[in-house]
Amino acid sequence: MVELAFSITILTFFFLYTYYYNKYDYNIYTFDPNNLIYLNSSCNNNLYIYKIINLTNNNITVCYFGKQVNSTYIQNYKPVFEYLYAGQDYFDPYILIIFK
Amino acid sequence: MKSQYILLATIIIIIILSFITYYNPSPIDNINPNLIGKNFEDQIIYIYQNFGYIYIYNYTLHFQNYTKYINYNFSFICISSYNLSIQECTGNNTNCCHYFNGYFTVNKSILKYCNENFILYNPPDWICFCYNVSSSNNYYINFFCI
Repeated sequence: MVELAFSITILTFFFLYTYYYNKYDYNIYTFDPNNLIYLNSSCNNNLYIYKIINLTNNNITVCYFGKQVNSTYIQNYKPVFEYLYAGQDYFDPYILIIFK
Repeated sequence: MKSQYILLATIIIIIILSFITYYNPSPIDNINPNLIGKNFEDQIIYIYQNFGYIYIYNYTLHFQNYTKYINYNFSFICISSYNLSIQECTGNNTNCCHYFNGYFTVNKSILKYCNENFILYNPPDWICFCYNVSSSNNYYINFFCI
């Protein structure tokens, strides 16, 4: 009976941990959109894992620390920030999603 | 012996669940609606300052599709002395614009979307957006003028 109670306690803590971990493990407020406007589809930034969805031509580019990769390559990473930019030098709307 | 089985079963369950959680990262489902509103606001201002107001209409269309895609409700009413090509508000519709020359008289339908402070903003030339972002459990209403 004691073992059963012990197991139930461990499982309960595990469920609570997983639930809150998934909900609050990242802090979306720590990203400043003004600092990320320079990320573009040429993958010239090796600090982030990000995806750019160009809304003009629907092209999707995935950059993994400065290297262009396939979408499946980052499927185990979690999106932690997303933003719909209007464009950089001219109007060319795109969605930026940062993964961690 | 029985107690060992129970502990062993607990450990196995935890390992299995850990793998499931690790390999199924959840999509962003908790963006605060005020961050979405801020995204809209900042980019409309950016467009106006850098590309010109003629692109505002196009951005609002993209923004509406985007918010729908991530399961947020987004709607706006704008008040503008420039013709933004956004459809004109008639009655109770949203995602529309009130166009005016000179001074604009704030009516009740706009105040549903705008904060009372909005009345203070009434210079001759401006573009204002009153917007509303809501998700299943949270909402945000704000306005800005450029």
